[in-house]
Amino acid sequence: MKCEQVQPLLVAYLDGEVSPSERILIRVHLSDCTVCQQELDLLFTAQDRVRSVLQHRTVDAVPARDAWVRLEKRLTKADRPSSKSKAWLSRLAPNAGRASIRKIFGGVTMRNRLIASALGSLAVITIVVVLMARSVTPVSAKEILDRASQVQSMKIPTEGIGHIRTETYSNFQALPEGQGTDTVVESYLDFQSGDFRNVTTDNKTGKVLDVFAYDGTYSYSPDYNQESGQGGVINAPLTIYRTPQANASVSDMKLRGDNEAGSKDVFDLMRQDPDVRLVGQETWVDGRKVYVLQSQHIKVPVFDPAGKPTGLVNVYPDVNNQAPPPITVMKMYFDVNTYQTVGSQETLEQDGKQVLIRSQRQLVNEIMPVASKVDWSLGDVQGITIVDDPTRTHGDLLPEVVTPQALPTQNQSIYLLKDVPAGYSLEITAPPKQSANDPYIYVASYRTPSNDYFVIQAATPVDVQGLMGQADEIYTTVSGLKLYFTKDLTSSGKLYTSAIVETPDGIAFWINSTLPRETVRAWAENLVPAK
Amino acid sequence: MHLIDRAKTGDRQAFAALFEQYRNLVYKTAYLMLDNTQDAEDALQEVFLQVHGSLASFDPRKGAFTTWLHRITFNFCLNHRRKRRPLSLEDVSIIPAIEFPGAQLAEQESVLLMLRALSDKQQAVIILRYYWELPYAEIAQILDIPLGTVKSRLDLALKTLRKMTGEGSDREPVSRMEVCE
Repeated sequence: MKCEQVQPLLVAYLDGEVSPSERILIRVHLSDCTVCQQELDLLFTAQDRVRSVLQHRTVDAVPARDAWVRLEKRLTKADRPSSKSKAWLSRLAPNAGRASIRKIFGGVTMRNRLIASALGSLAVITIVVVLMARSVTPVSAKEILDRASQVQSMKIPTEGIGHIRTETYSNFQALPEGQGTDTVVESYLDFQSGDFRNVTTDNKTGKVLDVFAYDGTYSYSPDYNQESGQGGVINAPLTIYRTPQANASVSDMKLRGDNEAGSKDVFDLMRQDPDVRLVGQETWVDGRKVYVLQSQHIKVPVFDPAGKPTGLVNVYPDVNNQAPPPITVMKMYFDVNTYQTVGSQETLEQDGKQVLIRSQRQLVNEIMPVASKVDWSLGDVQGITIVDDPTRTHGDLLPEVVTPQALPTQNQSIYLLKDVPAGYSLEITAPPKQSANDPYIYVASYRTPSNDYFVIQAATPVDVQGLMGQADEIYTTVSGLKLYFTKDLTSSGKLYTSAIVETPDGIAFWINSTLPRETVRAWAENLVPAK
Repeated sequence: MHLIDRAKTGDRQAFAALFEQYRNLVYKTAYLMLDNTQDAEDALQEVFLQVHGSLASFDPRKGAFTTWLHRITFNFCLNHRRKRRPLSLEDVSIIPAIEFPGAQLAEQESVLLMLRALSDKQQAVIILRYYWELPYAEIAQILDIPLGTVKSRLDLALKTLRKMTGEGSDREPVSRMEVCE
């Protein structure tokens, strides 16, 4: 070894961080080279001094005595569901973790998302005939998934009333069989007016757990600040606030595609799995035949601030990890004639047994005639008490359109593109009456007439640290924004780019786009706080 | 049940115990990185708030809790420093002198001033290696950089310090350009 080869290794040599062979070669060289020996001595002295200074500097550095007291106050505040906005966001991804929050994507307006997530698969009914006409027995799981995806991307009807009843069992704590949460969601949507109602009941007791509805004049919802999420006070009728909200002020009702069935996150994971397989056919709860597809993934639970598991997120295998990863077996069920997704199921192996973690079964999926009677004002729902909220202080409101000028000026958490890109228009929607103390919740949607989009969406208190492991690329803009790109999704031949962005101030928001990653990177350079 | 697992379930007492156990780790790093008690106190609060919010996603299979905690702490400190004006050797003279006893004074002060003139990233590796005595692989994990970068940053930082403090060597001023990578 020569001096110029040895010298760059001397610090690592002193730190014991060279390979055994390097160590021998360095020793041999040092025994014969006074220049490098002297350099080694000086580096050793420098290390020694640095250690001593750092130790000395922190001898008296101890946190203040009241550090925990102050922290605890802030933790308590953070734990409280402090604003309607949080409830509003949580509605967007019911029973879902971060993975599905991402799938609020598409820049479908928040309201649309809400409706679409409940009623997404309604669209398929209109095109059943088309698919049946060219129905050929599929030979592979991939073919079934492709057809199902095709079905999901079809347009939603423009008239009639969609009606879906879905049974959901959630058991993210992997409790023994039957101990999870068993709910039924009954959803109606008038495709023309946009009026809708979703009623969630406990499948065992029939108790109403959650209601969200809009009748064209009023929104109906519990007060999430009082009820602390679904359920509220046990055994008492659920109080539903009737809050005025003018039809003209709520954001655009027109559904714009990207509609998702309840199990879209499972579906997307299946499509990404090269090993997905067709298990066979089964008879569904209503007697029709369904295909059963199976896929395996590594998933970990995500938790709400109170520590309760609220969902599972997909993780990628860690090659350095010796411990066996938690494998989730997913099954999805597809109508053999229509390729509609009718249900899904996830199980986790625990102590050699498969424990049911989540299942969704669609019990009803129909389009009722235009003239069908649905009480959008919830008059027929038992077990709730409707209370007027004229001052709009209790109810959870639908998002409204906000102009950039009307955004709160002091709030540092809002980011927009510096200029609206040519060919794109900007629409910002946000829940009204947000607390000034919380990060502002909004969706800024840049769209072209052909439905290409670049959407910025406030994130829930997202853990960027947790996402680091999942990001397949981290890009830092000149202004210091860090973009953690998640794996690109392809659906119906269209590519979707998704990234979570962390600002230097620790604010996080999502970007979802139909643009390729390099364009998203370039546009991210133009993201600025909207002051 | 392990303390971290208990804290994950929302057990406030367990989280308090976790805070008690690791507050010095966060505080001392923040104090070394940010150079004053007020910023270190703020960092302690913010880091543990973030830990509380993110604990659910902490996966022990991916690394030790301390590695994760160091990572959050350094991210916070580096972000915080980025927002401040970069320090140059010209600024060093305006920083209040640190009190060292007797004969140590000149040497300690001089090393400290030189440390402060290193780039943020170099200071981070120096603190992780020579204060916390962590192996290079763990430093790489904490700072999310390749192992080779840890080596080169330490090498450059140490040689800069050696150049500035080394006996028998020139004590010529080192410009910011040379110090930074």
